[in-house]
Amino acid sequence: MINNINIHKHVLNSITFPVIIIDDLKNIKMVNSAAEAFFKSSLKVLAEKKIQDIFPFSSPALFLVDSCIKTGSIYKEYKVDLSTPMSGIHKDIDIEVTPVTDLKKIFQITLIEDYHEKKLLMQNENIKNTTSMSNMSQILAHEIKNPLAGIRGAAQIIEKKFDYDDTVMTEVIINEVDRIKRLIDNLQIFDSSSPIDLNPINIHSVLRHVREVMINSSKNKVRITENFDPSIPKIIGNKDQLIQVFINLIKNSIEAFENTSNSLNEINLSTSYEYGFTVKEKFTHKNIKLPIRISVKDNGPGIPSSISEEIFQPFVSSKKIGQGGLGLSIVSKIISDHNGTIELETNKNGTNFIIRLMSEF
Amino acid sequence: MSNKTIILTEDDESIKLVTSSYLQDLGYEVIMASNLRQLWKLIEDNKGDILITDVMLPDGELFDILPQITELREDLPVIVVSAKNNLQTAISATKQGAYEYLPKPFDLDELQNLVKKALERKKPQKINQKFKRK
Repeated sequence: MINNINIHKHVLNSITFPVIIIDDLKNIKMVNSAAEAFFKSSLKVLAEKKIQDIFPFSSPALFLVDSCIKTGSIYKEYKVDLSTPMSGIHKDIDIEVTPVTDLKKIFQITLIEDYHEKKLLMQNENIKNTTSMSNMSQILAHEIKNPLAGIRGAAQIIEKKFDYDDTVMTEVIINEVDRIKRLIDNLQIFDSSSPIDLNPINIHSVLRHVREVMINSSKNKVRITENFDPSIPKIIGNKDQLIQVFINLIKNSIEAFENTSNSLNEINLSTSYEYGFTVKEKFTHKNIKLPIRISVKDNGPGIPSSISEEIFQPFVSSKKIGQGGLGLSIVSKIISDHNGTIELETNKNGTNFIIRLMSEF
Repeated sequence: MSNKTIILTEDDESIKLVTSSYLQDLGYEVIMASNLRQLWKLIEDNKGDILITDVMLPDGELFDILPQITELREDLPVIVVSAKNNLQTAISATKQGAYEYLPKPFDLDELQNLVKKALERKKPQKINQKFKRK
């Protein structure tokens, strides 16, 4: 005997576009595999949510759901934007909400992505698009880390069978495996499936910590000066991620110094409060004030104009191929997750990165 | 030294080979499972003193059966290793009663330390249970 429930489940899962089943209180009752992939969450996670938890706030899609539940008729809308921080960017989705035949109080939401348009978009934007990086990072993580674990383990076993002096080569294997792992972990920062935790923090303590770390870890002598406005309020941010931001920016400056004969290498960190700088929030389009201005300025040779336009894209670098190239794109991604902005001013006398962030008050 | 038995659940042949031979060299007995079905059989048969397991397996995700495993074998420490290196995986693992989470590619010495610690931690629990019974 074939179990009927299983047939339904398999049929639902073999449908290639996302299907979500909800009840009249908008609780998610069931989703198919395509919907799990679309929302980057498992059925288990989704089944504890309501539809308004996974659709963007004030999306027209929610209106369709309400209307269908109210009237019992079919509702459709084309080219809806369903992008959220959790599911990533999903523009131009055709959405259909229908009552499920013969089942009271159960409704079906079907999402159809425009495949032709999507394909074209992927080709055009290619690697520049950080959302394609997000999918890539997940595949990379799983498909590369498994063989890496095998390689690393094998090297460790060989190492134990040799004398200490003979382990140089196994050390190379282990260190290089760890380097690839770090690269992949960095790529995973582009994965926007988990929203970041933002808290009021003292930006000066972040900057001082980074300054300390960079002075102690830098091979060459670097002067890092500070010019802080002690009266600025706390900023709204994620401490660990902002540490990463300023480490990357300062590292960038230090590496730029290597191409110059200037003996007085200096990086200046400054903060100030500026009224009137506002931007629109990515999803809700509300105005947000960004009064905190942080600048990381160096007197290095500047960034070549050939790449300064796209310096925040992954793998764009003036360095040799294979030497990094993710640093500034990670910076840009983190600042964007903070609803902040980053600007670049560069000429032959130096480079200045200006970051603007939200403040507590 | 130890004749403790480790269940190793992993579908990647290289990781299986490397991890099992390393642990065997240390004196552990290693029983292997390549999927959730085989793992569940070993759990039901009361095999193993500790479980080292991958998350994504050919017939499903570990977290689908981890609650049942920890319920049936309360005293079995579980070390979760995964290539899905994100906070969510670590949280799911510890929430569901795993002893520790180790991202791939992992350090075999670190794994060994975890195994040792987890097995040591197990002892006092067992003693407590005996006291309770008396």
